Amino acid sequence: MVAKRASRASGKPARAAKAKAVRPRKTARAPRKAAARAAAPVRGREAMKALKIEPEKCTGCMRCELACSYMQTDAFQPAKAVIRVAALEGHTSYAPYTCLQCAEGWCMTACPVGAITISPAGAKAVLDDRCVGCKLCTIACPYGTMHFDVDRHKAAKCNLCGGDPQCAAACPTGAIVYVETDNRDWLGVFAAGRSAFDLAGKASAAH
Amino acid sequence: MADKRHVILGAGTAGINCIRTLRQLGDTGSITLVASEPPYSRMVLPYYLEQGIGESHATTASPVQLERWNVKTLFGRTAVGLDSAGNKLKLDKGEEVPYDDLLIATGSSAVRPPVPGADGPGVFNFWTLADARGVNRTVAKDAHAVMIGAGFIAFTILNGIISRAGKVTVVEVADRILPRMIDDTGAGIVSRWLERRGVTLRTGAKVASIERQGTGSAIALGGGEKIACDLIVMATGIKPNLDWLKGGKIEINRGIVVDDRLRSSVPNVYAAGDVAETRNLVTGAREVHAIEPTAMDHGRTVAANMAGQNVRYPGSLAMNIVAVAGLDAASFGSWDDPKAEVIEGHDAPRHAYRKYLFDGGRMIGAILVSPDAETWAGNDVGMLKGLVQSGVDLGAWKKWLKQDPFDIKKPYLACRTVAQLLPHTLLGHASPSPRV
Repeated sequence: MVAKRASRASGKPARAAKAKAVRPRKTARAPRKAAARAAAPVRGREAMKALKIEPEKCTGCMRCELACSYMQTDAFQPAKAVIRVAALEGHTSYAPYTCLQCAEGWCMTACPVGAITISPAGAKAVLDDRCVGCKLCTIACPYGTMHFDVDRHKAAKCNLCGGDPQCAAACPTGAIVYVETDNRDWLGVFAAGRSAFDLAGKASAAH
Repeated sequence: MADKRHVILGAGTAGINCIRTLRQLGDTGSITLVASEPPYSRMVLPYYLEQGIGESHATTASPVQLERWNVKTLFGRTAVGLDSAGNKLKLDKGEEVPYDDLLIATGSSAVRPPVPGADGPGVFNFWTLADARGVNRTVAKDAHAVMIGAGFIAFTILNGIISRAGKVTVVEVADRILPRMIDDTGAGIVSRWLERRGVTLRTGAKVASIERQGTGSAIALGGGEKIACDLIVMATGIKPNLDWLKGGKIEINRGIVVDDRLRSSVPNVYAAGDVAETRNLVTGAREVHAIEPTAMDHGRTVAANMAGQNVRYPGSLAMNIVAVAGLDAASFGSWDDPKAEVIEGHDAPRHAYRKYLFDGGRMIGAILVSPDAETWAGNDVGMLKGLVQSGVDLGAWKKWLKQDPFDIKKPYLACRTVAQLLPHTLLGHASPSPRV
C-alpha cells in the first residue's frame, strides 16, 4: 500500500516492476526518458506512447477496470478505476474511456497547488501528498476523466501506471494497447454508430 | 529585442502563473514582483482549517523557487498610483518602480456589511492567510460558530468550520443559500442535506448589529431575535482592489477593461484575475469572474503576450464546485439564464439533481448536485464542462436527456465532443509541467 502510493508520485510502477522483473525494463526505458527530458519544457508529446483504444475490439469484460482499480487503489473495485467502460446500445457494445493526457492538461493548469505534474512516462499525474482534494481539477477537465477518490479525499486520474498501463496489459482482445500514437477521439464515431438505434427509440418514446 | 523589465503587481494565482509561464517560455527579461503578501493560494486555506495540511502547503512559490526564476521581490508593499506616461509604478513610502510592461493582478478583498459591531473583536473574515490563522487560533471544539453569508466562498469554508466547531449556524440575507452559484432546486437539496447533519440555516435573515458578550458575541437579527455565539466568520462578498487606480489613465468598468490580449487601455499595462473584466466564453459579455481557473488562465495568457507571442484569450467559463459534508454541488456557464430551454432531472430520494440549459442544440449552462459517492462513481462533472466549453450540437440527444437526464456519457461521446476539444490549448502549444 505504502509503496504503491509512493510509486504514484514518482511515476515508477512498483507492482508492474515486481511482477515482470524478467523483462529488462531499465535499459528499455532509459532512452525514452531521455527523449522526454530533451523535449521539455514546451514541446509537445508527439513521440510519447499513449493508450490507443479500438472499441470495436472491446467485449465488455471489464478486466481493464479491475486491473486499473487494483493498480491505482489496491482494490478490485471498478467504481474506483480511472478507466471506465461505457456500455452502449443496451449493453451490446462497450468502449473503454480514459484520460488522453491532452496537450493542455486542463487538470494540471487548474490545480492551485501544483499537485498535477507530467511524469517521466508523459502522463499528467496527481502527487497525492500535494493534492488537498479541492476538486477544481474535476471541473476544469472537459473530458470527464478527472476522478475523485472519496475515501482518500484525493483527485485520481490515469497516470499510465508509470509507463506500464495495467489496463492494456489486462485487455485480452487488444482493444487497449500502449503504443506510439497521436491523440485521437477513439470512441466518438463508434459511440455514435452504436447508439443510433437506442437514440431513435428514446426519441420516439419522448414524443 | 532587448530584454524587457516586467513588473508583476500581486502574488496571487494570476501573478505567480504569469511569472512561471514567462520563465517556461524562456523569457529572460527582469521580473520584479510587488505584493502585499507573499505567494500563497487562498483556495487551500479551508483545508488548513480542516487540519489536513500545514500552513506551508498553501505556498505557491517558495523563496527558493522565486530565486530560481530570478525574481526580485518587494513583499509587504502596496501600489498607490501609476504613472502610465512615465512607465513607473508608485509604491507606498514614495518609491517608484520603472517597467516596460506591467501586470496588475491585485486581486480582491473581503468586504463586510455596514453593520454596527461588524469590525469588532470576535468577527473574522476567512480570506487571507492572516484571517485563516485567526480563525484557526480561536475556534474551540465546543464553540458555536456563526457563518454570516451563504455564498460560494462561505461554502468552501463550511467543511472546515463544521470539522472544528461544536455547533454551526449559517445566516444569509437572501431567501436561500448559494444564491449566485446554483438555482432554487439545487439550493433546496443542499439546505436539507446540511440541516439533516445538524447545521442551522437562517436564510432571509438580516444582521442588525453585533455586540461583544464576554468572550463571545451576540448577533441581533432584523426581527429582534438574538443569536449568542463564540465566533463569527464573515463571508459577505469580495471586491476587486482597484481604488488605487481611480482617476488614472486605466479604463475601469466592473474591473479593468482589457482587450483579447488582456491589455488595458494603456497597452503595456495588462490586468489579470479578479481585477480584470474579460469576455464570458459562453455569452461574449464582459464580466469579472473572480474564480481560480480564470485567474490562472489570465496569468498565463498575459505571460505569453509579454513574451511576444500574441496569444488571444478565448474567454472565461464561469464554473464552481463546492462539497459540503459529502454532497457535491457544481455549476457551469449560464446556469441561471432565464431565456434558456431547460432539461432537468431531480431524484429526491437520492439527493441528486441535474439541470441543463440550452440555446438550440448547444448546452450553455449546467448544474449538478449529488452525494459524492454517486458523483464520482458516475463521473459526469467534467463532461458537463466539456459540453459547455466545446459548444457541440447535441441535436437529437436533447430528447435522450429529457428521458434520462442522468445519462450524459453517451451523448457526450457520440457527439464527438472529444474530437472538438483535443486541439484546444490556451497558449497554442502543450503545457509544460508546473514543476520542472
